[in-house]
Amino acid sequence: MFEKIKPILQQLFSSKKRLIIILSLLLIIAIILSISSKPTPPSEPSPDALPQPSFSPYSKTFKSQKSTSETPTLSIDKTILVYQLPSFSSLDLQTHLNPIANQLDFTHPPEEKTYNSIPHLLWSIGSNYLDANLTTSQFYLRYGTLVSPGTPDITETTALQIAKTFLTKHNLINHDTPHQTQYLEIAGYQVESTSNPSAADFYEFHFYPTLNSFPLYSTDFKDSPIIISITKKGEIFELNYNLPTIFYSAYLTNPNSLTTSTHPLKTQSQLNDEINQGLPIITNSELEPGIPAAPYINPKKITYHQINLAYQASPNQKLLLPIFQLQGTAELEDGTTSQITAYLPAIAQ
Amino acid sequence: MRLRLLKAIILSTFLLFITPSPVLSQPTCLGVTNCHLETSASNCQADEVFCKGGSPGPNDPTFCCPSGQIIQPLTTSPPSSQTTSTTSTPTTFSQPSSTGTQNRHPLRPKPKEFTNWEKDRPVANYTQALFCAQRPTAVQKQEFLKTDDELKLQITGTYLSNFEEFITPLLSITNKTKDDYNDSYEKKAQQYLADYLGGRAYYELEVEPTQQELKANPQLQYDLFIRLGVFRKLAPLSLQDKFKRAMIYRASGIPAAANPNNLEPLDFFTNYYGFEPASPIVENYPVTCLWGNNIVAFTQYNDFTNPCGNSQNIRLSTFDETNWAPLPEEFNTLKEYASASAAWKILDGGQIDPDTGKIIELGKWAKTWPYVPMFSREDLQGYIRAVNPNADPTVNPVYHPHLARTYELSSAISTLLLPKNNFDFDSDPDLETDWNGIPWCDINDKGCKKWWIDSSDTLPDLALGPVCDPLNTIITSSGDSAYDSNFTTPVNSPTQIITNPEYSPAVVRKCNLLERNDPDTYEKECKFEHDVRYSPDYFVTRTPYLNQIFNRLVSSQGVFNVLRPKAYVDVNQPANWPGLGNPEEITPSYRFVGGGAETGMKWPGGSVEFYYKGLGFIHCQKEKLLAFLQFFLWEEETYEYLSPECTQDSTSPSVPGQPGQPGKPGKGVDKELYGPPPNVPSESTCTQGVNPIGQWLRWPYQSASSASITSCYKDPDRKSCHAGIDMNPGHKKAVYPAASGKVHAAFGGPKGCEELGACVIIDHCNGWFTIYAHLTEWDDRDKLVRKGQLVTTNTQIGIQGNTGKVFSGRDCNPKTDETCGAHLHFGLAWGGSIRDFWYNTTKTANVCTFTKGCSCTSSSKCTKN
Repeated sequence: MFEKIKPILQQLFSSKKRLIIILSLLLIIAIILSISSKPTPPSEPSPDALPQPSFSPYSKTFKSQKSTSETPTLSIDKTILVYQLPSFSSLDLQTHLNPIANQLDFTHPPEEKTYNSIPHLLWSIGSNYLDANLTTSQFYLRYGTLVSPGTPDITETTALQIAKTFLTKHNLINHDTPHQTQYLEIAGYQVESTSNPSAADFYEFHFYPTLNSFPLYSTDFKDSPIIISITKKGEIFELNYNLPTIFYSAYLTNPNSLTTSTHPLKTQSQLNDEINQGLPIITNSELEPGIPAAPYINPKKITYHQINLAYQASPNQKLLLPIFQLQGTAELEDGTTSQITAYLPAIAQ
Repeated sequence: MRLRLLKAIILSTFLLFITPSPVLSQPTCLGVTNCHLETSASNCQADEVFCKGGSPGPNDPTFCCPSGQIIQPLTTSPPSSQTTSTTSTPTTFSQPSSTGTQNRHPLRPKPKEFTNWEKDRPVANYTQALFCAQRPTAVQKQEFLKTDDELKLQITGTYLSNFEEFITPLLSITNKTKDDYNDSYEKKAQQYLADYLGGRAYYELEVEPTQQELKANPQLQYDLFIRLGVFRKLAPLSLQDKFKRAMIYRASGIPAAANPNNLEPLDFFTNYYGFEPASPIVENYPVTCLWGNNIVAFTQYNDFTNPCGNSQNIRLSTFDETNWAPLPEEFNTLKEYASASAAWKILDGGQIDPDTGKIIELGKWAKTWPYVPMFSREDLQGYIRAVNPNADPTVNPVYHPHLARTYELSSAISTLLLPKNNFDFDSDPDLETDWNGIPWCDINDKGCKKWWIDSSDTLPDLALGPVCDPLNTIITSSGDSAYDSNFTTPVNSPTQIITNPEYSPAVVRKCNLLERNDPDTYEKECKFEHDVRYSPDYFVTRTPYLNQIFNRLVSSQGVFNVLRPKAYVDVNQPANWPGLGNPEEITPSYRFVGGGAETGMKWPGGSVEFYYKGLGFIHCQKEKLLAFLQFFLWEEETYEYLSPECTQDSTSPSVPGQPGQPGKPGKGVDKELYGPPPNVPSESTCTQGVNPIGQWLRWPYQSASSASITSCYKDPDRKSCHAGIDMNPGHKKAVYPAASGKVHAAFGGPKGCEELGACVIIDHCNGWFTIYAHLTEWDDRDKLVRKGQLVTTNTQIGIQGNTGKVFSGRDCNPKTDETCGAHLHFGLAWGGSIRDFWYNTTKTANVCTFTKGCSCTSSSKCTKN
């Protein structure tokens, strides 16, 4: 074969000029191929084939046929809204977060960064920074100011008010969003939790927003959706906003601007079947740390005593999908029990 | 009772030579007390002299000693052609009362620490470096002539060790609640080994704790080992069956018991130990007896009271191939073995429920089988000898010092096997913390109470007994004294030549005249006496049987080849069917994780409840620890279990991780449950790298020191457990891997590693990973290293920063100062996911322990994540 085309190649490459032309053509072809092979944006969700919510990586499936049939009944509508996350540009996100940046004296415009192939916007000044994910619009703020020694301590109530004021001002929560409080104290260069409120140097408020009255979880279940820390001197120290802020701000301010579609929920019968097949994915249990997992991975029986419908933000899927959260008790082989939380996709396929 | 450890009575002859003196540039510390080992004269105090230890050869250690005791040599000495000698005269010496007890051992002036001399040597040589236990100081009053310009010193004699007052802790059998508390010492001593390894099930009347009781109080498990024997509780029952068969063979005629001198070794088919026991024969012990259908458990190990009558006694030799438990390898399939086991259980009187087919009553042989011992008192036999270059190589057979060795062995095993809830050894292998004050406790330390094990102390922290007695401490025990025995050990000190401080030409002239004219005055004025001391001799003892056990304990093959790393286990082989013979018993269950082996107790029909660590995994710290215990071994013996990478100061390339060494320090939280971050596999994906445990880690900077540390592992000032060390030698300092390996993860975002900020995780290719966190964030375009990249300690991986959940500090304005709170979090974990680096007793380890030159005090009480 090569022998046959050899004369042709020799002719083609017989002069430098021809060689340059050929190489240029090859380069153009390569560029075209390269552009065409770039990842395509996620396709629009199809009502007939919704993707499944992602429960990984913090998941463990109980491979068991031993789930109880005593599934609690679920009295809800038969259909539910699935939200499409709005697309946004870097400028959109910058515009969205600029009020926060301005309030906190990030005087320089943000830099576009890429961390592990994920584009980010980074505002920074001194040791403070505001880091926003350009794919998901989740963001993280670490902040602080030099507080004068005479600054009085604030109460937890005041701290909560500061947190809520900040979050509502920037359309990050509703004012009545439920919350829980944790207390942190300074340990060296870091902060650690304490159970003693009077020892707290920080108040950490975990907010649990809702969507259509259903709980809205962040990408993975280990983190609260919104966590904000306020120092005892009244400063914001840290804000973890684990929800897609572009979407949720739009939901809070102009819900009609969001694109939705209606989908059938799994029926009680389907739910029972899946539970009895051991399909719920355990993402949380109250296993004692350090206790070998071996005895627990194959419980004799799981009894779910509560099922909640919720939303899980799956930014990478461009959708907000409904899920069933199941809370129950796993009966283990050694006779002990463990409280567990499990999840199932809620949309009927 | 407080008794002296060793009364050394020295019967010796000595030779006095006068020979030409060599030029000595450095004095020797021979016979000088209160020295401390130092490598440089600059470390000596003003009133001290830098001197050599007196051991010939390049490894002669050096010391700083009180100058007043040193006989300074001449710095130059003219060669002399005159040689005068005297013949040796037998002389009896004893320790002078002025010195009282033996002095602090010059080779181990700081008992808690490795000496520099030891540090300069690999662990494999520690057997030669550990001078301890019965180290007498020989003191001879010798006569010298003032007319000799040089004095030649040598001690030749015999140590006589009297063990009548040698104290040996006998933990279980000195417990007043035990039936055998008042037994003779000899009886206690002889059963000691069997107690600890073989267990006392055959006469232990106490009820074993229930599953619930053990779960509620893991301490009971430790007690269970103590009472019932580690091996009995941990070895697969089928292997126990083998050992029992070996005992039966040994007791019943191989070789013939009638001819005890016929010490032929057990042959391959009858010796299941895998090595030669100390003695091929054992006494034909009574095992138990039957009173009707009921077993009568002997209340003593060797109970000859015959509670059932002589005819009913079941002795070892009562068992044979017709009634002993079947072994898996005797059958082709598991089913055949199970069937044979079932049949054996009803042999001679057993009953089966006709409805269920289950065995409801064991037969006589199955019923008595658990009482068959696996180890014998004869295995205590060992040898002892003195070690020095001129020592007589004669060895002396002894028994009793090995009681202490047995204790140490047993307690070592028990300690290594402690429930992890009780003992944070693997995850925090900071022996400075965990062991400080126990094996090398300084007697001057008022907090030290562990010079010897108080037999009333049954808590886990009793750990190992004193492996030597560098201060010749008077030790306390429960009052048991070792049974009568003396032994002698020849000793010949090396010859030392010193300048005669009494010599002068005038003295020579005067004495020459006196010798001829006035012999009496000559005797008085021209001769003098002086104490000659000799210390370097020390005893080593050897118990082959125990050595074998040690060998197996710390080898990658696991304890008794039982707890082997998975790589060595072929589950298709019948020999690897543990516990199948006696499914009604609580049996061990095994688990192999990452090259380490673990076991736990499995109840019938239940799951494993307790896991014990380190069974197939002995990391270097443990090896060092065990090396401390090796001082009873022959120096020329080579121990395969000492991992080549486990050297103190080795800078040579270490051995890549091998199955079983090092392994995981115990059962961890199920990885899948807590999970790695996306796309970050936790398992090692590389095969070439260093062993961060076996080799010292370097500081993660080009230069740093403990002074740079701002927070320790398990920092006592913190309420939660700090999983690494924080360091701040300077903001923006370049960060390097502490050991070579492969970049497992490099998350450049300010929250790339969650609260730890931007971080790099290095996979050291053997299961261990290190993390470098709170780094300055970096864009993909600026990244220093990429995932999968092989790195060495010279590869910069990041820049120290302050990303993540870092507090800026009270005096730093974070709005204007980019250095606020800057530090490096440096951590070591088993597993490479970010959460593996969160504090966890089975995941994280104190990275400082493995970092050369690192010192940081951890909290021993930290338990909170």
